[in-house]
Amino acid sequence: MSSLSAVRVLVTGGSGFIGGRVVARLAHCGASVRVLVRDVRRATQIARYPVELCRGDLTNAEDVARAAEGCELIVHCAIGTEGTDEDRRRVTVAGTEHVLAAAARARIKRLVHVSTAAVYGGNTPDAILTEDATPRYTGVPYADSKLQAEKAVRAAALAHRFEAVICQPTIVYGPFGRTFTTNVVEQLKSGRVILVNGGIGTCNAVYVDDVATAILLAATSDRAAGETFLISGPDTVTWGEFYGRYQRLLGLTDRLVSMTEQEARTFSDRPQRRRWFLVEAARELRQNTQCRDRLLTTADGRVMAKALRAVLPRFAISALKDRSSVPSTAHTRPAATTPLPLHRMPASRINTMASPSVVQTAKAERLLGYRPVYSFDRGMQLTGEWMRWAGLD
Amino acid sequence: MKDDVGLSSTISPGPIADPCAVRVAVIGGGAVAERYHLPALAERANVIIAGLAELNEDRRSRLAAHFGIPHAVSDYRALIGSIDAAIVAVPHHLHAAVALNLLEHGIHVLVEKPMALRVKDCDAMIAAAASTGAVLAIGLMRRFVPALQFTKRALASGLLGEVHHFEIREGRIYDWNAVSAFDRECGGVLADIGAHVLDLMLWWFGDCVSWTYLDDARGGVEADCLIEVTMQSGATGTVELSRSRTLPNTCAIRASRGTLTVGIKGRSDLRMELHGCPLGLRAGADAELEAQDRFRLQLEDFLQAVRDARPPAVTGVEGRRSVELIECCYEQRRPMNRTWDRIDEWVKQESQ
Repeated sequence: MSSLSAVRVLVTGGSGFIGGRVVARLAHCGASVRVLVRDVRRATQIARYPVELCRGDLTNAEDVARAAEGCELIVHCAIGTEGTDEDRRRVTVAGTEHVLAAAARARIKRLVHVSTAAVYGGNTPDAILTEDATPRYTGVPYADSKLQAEKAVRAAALAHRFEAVICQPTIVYGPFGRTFTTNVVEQLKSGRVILVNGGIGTCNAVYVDDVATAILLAATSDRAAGETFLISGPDTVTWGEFYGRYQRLLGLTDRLVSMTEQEARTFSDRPQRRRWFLVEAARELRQNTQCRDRLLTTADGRVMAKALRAVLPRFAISALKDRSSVPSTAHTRPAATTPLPLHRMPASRINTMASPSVVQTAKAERLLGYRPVYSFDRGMQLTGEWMRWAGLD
Repeated sequence: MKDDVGLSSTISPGPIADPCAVRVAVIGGGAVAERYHLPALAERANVIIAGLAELNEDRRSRLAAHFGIPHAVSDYRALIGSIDAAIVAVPHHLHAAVALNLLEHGIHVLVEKPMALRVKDCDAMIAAAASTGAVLAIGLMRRFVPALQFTKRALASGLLGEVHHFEIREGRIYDWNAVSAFDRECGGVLADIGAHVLDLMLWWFGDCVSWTYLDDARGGVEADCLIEVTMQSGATGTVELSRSRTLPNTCAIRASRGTLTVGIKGRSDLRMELHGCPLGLRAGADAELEAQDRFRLQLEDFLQAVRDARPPAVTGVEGRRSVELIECCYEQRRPMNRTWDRIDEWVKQESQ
């Protein structure tokens, strides 16, 4: 990829997960890299490389135009990550439009637009997914906004005669990753996670460095102009293996709960309404013996227990004792642990997890010469080493 | 002092009139000046904030209005002649030039850490201060933290015996929105946090005789670094600094009579064990208040040094020590080799 040497390139989203790795690789190839950065505090990793940090906001057309000045290549990785779904959509779509306007004004040669395989709708029933599938709006805010952005990219490339290459990565994981790395880790550490259909669905996992390689190829390959490429890893794993590997890296065993697609939906859709406070408190105290014992050692706790015993009829007391199912010697036994909370799962993730489709990267291999080199084992091993280093395990 | 203020204001109203008040300017109106130096100056009765130098016009006028500063300028040199002392809080790579010029004009200087980025600049600053008699104080305010002073005493008095090994680990996810952030000339985490941490290390354990230094910079500024040192005393130690992750922010010392672990940033909790007998001391107050207190103590010491014409608590000679080590580290840097961040892997892919 020596052809990137001295190429002036603007990267948006460069302080993010995929963008950060792209910046590193571009700098390593000798490109002259400028990064549009909204919050310099997040730039510690890319500041390790000789790159120009250009302060600015994707939602400000002027900032983007200024950043694109003099560039021949733009790699557009930025998306909206904050606020409501609507806020994010606005940043993703309007931001892309600003990038396209800036690209036209700066007369750039090529734009690599980093999109997502989610534009194809998530729960495709087919055994394989290729670029021949029809992208469609599904009501999932993230996927829909990325599809809208893709359409804008294609239209602008035609109108302003620059080459647009669209990359559609699948499930991207690796160091500094959020959605499929730190978020998964945090969920597993703080509770239990649903495995749809026992986790037999296909997880098209790809290690972040393979995605960065694909983006670099998309930026340089002669045959890439105007094309769209699905980008996935070399192995096909199941969601059970994917979550299972994280669970193992964390030294946990009991955090995955198998559910059918329908059960997962029903569970995740159930209203947030809670029971009455006293009922909820009584339930909690019945289950949490440690907490109950501690409360009963307080002065007013004892008075209250005494009062209850005096007021309640005998049969009610014995019924309560039975239901509490904890013998009176509870404090001498190891305390029963409260079951960990089960995290709800967004409908879009349930769909993705239920899908059997294996993403094909034949087109990227043929036209770009893309060869993913990080097997799932290797990628996860490196991710685990990063997790230990970052203190996440 | 109250009498002085009252007296002066009846004779000639206006801030410059108090004959005992020290006229202080703040050079560089960035985050540290706004949050700590200016508030600390503003609350003192015997100080006049006589000037502010700041390039950014918005910041300059906002800070001047907020703190009632009569002379707000873009070039600090315009303030020379109307000030007695200055707090230098410009980006790291400008510390030396600005401080040196002020010292040569006989202006007392409290310069933010690191004192400079090169030893030769430190030497010039020390020489200039000596020749004009100006006070040169270095903003290593951690030296004013009680738990850290206790650690110094515990080591110096021999309470812990002979130090065998220490481990310093300080890191947090970077959140300092400084204008000069990531300027290559300013250095990375070593010049920034390292200035504080290596100062504590040299202050506590004495000079070091050998070291190895690894960091993760690749043509830019390092976010993480690791230093292994051997001290003159024979003690060995490691210093790990990070802008990318949360570390315990402690120094753990293993000595012949026991161990001591002290919080070196924010909460300064102290845990000690002497001949197998453990003791823990918990720091009070929240970190933000503590930070303000440190700047307050540092300023008080500086002003007292100016008034009594005595050396400040942290002199140029003391400040120079950590600069020397930082400079040596940068000169001998070797790349960190983390499995998930290896360039040779990329080369393999790029040659596909």
